[in-house]
Amino acid sequence: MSFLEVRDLCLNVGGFELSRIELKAEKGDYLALIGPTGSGKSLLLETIIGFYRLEKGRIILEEKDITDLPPNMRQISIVYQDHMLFPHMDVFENIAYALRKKLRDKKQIEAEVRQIAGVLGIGELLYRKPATLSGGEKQRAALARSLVVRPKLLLLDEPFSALDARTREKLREMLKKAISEYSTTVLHVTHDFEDVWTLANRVVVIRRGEVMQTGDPESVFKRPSPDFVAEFLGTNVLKGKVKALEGKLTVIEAEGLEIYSSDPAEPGEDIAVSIRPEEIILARETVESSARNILRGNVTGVFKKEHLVVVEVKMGNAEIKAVITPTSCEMLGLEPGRETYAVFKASNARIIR
Amino acid sequence: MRKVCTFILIMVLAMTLASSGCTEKGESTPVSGDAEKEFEGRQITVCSGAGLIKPMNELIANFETETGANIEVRYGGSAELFGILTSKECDIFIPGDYYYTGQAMDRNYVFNESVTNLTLHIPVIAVPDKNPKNISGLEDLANPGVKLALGDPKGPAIGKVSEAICEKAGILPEVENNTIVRTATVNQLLIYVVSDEVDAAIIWEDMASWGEASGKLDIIPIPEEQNKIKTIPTAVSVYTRDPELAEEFNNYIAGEGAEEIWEKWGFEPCDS
Amino acid sequence: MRFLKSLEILKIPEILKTLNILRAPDSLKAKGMKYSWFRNLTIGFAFFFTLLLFLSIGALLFVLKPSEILSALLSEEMFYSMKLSMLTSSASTLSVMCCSIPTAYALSRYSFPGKGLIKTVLGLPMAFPELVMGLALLLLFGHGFLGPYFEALGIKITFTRLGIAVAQFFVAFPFAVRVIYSTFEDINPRYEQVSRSFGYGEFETFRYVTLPMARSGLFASGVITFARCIGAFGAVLILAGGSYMHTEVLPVTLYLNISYGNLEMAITSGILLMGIAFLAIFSFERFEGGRL
Repeated sequence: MSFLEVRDLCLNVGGFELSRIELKAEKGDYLALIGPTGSGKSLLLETIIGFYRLEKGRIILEEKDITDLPPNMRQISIVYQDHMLFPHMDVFENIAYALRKKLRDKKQIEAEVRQIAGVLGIGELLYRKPATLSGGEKQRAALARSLVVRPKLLLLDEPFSALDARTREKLREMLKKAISEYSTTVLHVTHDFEDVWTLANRVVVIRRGEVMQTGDPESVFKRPSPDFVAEFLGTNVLKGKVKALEGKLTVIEAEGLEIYSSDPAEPGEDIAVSIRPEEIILARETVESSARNILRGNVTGVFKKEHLVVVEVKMGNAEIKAVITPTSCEMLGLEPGRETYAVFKASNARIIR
Repeated sequence: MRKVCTFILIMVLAMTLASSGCTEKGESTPVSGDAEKEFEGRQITVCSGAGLIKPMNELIANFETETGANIEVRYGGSAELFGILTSKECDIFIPGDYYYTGQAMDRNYVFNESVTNLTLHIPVIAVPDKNPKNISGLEDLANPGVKLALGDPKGPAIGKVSEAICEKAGILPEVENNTIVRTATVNQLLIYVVSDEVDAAIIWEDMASWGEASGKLDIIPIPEEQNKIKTIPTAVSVYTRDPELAEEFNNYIAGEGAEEIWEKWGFEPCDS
Repeated sequence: MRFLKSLEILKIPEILKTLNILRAPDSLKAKGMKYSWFRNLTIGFAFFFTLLLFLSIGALLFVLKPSEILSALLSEEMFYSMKLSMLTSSASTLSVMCCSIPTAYALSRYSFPGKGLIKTVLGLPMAFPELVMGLALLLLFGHGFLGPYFEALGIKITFTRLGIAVAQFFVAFPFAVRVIYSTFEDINPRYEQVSRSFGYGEFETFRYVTLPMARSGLFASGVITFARCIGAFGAVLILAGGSYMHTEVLPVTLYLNISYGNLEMAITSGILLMGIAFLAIFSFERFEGGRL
């Protein structure tokens, strides 16, 4: 039996619906829950913590059925996007409040508070009211409050999404450190791909209240199974038909392009091809290379995204995104209207059914 | 500049408001129609005791159709109406009791020769339907355990009158002891009798007769020798802006044609 | 240059913001725009009618000589009615708060059958006149219905001071529930959920998290309730009778003295009521930041 098991969970709350959710996590796992807005991820967290009664299904934590326990008996903590620090208490009081049900001794409480404050770097902020803190500081205080009780399970509901990129990066590192010190199991709902990459060891994809895919980040990332996952993760998805087989390669006609893929397929089959933006190389002219796919197109847009550049290229009937570094963007002189070649390996063109 | 603009705007607003008020008044008096009506477009204000509301409304409606005049009416307690009279906002003064008209005459607020008695105002004992405390006469009001509602002696005419009646019968201390509520209007007394909250109240016969008709209360008359029967007089204020119309109305409600309406609403005309 | 920068920092009054004074900074509102006729018109309306209102209040204040007000204030009747007003309003405010906090919390946090009905019924008294309320209470607590049961317990409600408090309670209760309800609605239930997750029960969470977070709203509704109780007239008059020096509270004093033709007393009690209303609204604005 796994540490956390959610079995056949069904629930309908005000238009949001979860149906037959199955979830498993081992002790120490870091699960990332991803899916589009309104897919029921937050609802799933609030169900696990005990704010909604299930219509069907069981939740088992550490070999104990907690389905019918009230939230105060479950030993699960949660951090929301908007921190939910009690405004009438200072940071110290907020953290100590969490401990009061567990510890009676004042000195012990203070020691625990100081310890977690040290780990999350909020030692200086303990006697300030939440309203006077910056977004990142508030979120660290909220994390401290949730971790200090050493919960069996920590739920994070998009804790970083209101923060800027640099703060997010800093907080991820702190969180990682804190979690290893306080060794809890984490369920993290996120929209941010970097959260998944840097923190999670397992990914669960949810759409419209259903689990679509589970696996380690690598496999979900590299081999997105259903159409949707690929789109959510930001890959290029081209719909088409298998034209022919050339040795071990499959030739696909998709949106006016001829693409070679190393995935097996039957001729005449309707499929889609997924190509991840970071696996596409842009070049000014056709180059001799081991890559099987070399496609010509025109740049339609260049966007900076954090420390990378996303280039949109119109090829055939498709608009393909490629991610490159700002330096190479400058070297290639990419700007809208410019002709360019997209190069990628047949093994990077994955067939999705 | 900004201040000036705002100021001008306020002035304009004020003027539009004032002028619109004027035109409204102008429009409300029908200019056309048959010119035979004597007082077409003229207006007076009548201050009448609240207890007279039913016959007074009918009398005014009849008078208006006959003469084309516009009669404004204000109903209230006698003392309140007296206040309106002293502030010169009233053309015809009809309190619930002659006492107030006497006061007005003493202070020269009304024309003495215009004072005419309209009807008798007879105090009676009103008890809830089925008479739970078996009250048969004035003396029973002094019985222990009887709950009474009376008018405030300082307020409505009935308050002063009922106090005088009880004093004359020598039961005032007991009655005061039994009184659980004193009100500033007669209508409030009626509510408490009808809703069974009190066992008896002294109110005007005319008011009680409405309730009796609908079966909500019973009337126990007070014998004439114990009673203090009042008259309701009408009078023209010395401050009236239209003495001719006021005089006409004053005579109309005291005239023979009005008698029928007074009787219809339970009032006894004076000369009977 | 550096000196100028440090001045920049001083310009942002963070502390003032938290003190709630700059809740709606005017700097955000179209400044430096050309004054349009529409702007001037709306401001004109604002000034004109506020001025009229102000004049009417002034008329009440200045029609009497100070000596007249003073003697009316010091009269036995005024003393009695002021004392009774304070006493009954304090009692009814206290009980209104005790009852409306749980009511408002239930309406705001839980869904249960009949909730819509409760909301509608609580909304009714705000739309119908107080006199109707008084008549309804008279019938409920009078002899026809609940009166005999209360009397068996030795409790008399009609024509008593208790009746005043009861009438005030029912007049103010729906208002208090509404204000407190919106206060609770403004508190994200996730605060309570977080507290629950740390092992606190529902009541403990209410006590340590919800109540302290709602305190300014509760204070404001307490003030509004008190003002409403003091000003309650129609219901008090019908249920408690409004008898001179017996069930006479301030609005009743005003009414009785109008019917006695005693203008000094009437106006003085009017001034007192106005003063109480002013204090109430002033502290309400102060603590709720004008969030009506």
